[in-house]
Amino acid sequence: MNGLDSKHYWINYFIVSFLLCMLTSLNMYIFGAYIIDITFFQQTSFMLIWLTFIGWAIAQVALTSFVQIFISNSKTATIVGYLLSIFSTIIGEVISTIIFPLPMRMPFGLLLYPPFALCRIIYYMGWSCSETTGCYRSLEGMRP
Amino acid sequence: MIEALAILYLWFLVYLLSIWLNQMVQQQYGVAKNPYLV
Repeated sequence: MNGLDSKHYWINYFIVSFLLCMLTSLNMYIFGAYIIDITFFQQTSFMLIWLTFIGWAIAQVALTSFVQIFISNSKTATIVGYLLSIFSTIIGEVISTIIFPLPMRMPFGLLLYPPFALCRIIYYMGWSCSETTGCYRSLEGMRP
Repeated sequence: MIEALAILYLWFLVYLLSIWLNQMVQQQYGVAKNPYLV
């Protein structure tokens, strides 16, 4: 607990992890929108992209703290963390784009796992950018 | 898409649950003696 009582430890843990995620997301957004000039970042609603990033940060912090219950060794935690992160994203992309491509709906149970939910959201936003209707430019324009 | 976004935010509840579970595990077994830890 690093000398903190449990309440302050968990509040700090959340804030620090959340801010790290936000910094990473900001880095990616700046590169995508202003340096590499990717249409996805430039034309999709700023609010929608950041709502997704914030939700993803919350889910990531929750997932890591949940996995911590079962892992005490830091080496094991690092390996499991990387495996979860890398493989979940690859599997999530495959499920989203190959197994349940639009207009199919992804089963709700699969969406309960955050990386799969994130992949689905990014898939919807990317697909929208490739359509004639264009990227999601506002929250109202979101199709379920 | 909206449901996927909502699920990401609802994972905050899992965070609260895991705080409680972490404390339960520590109180019952102690960090070093926990038989369920890898």
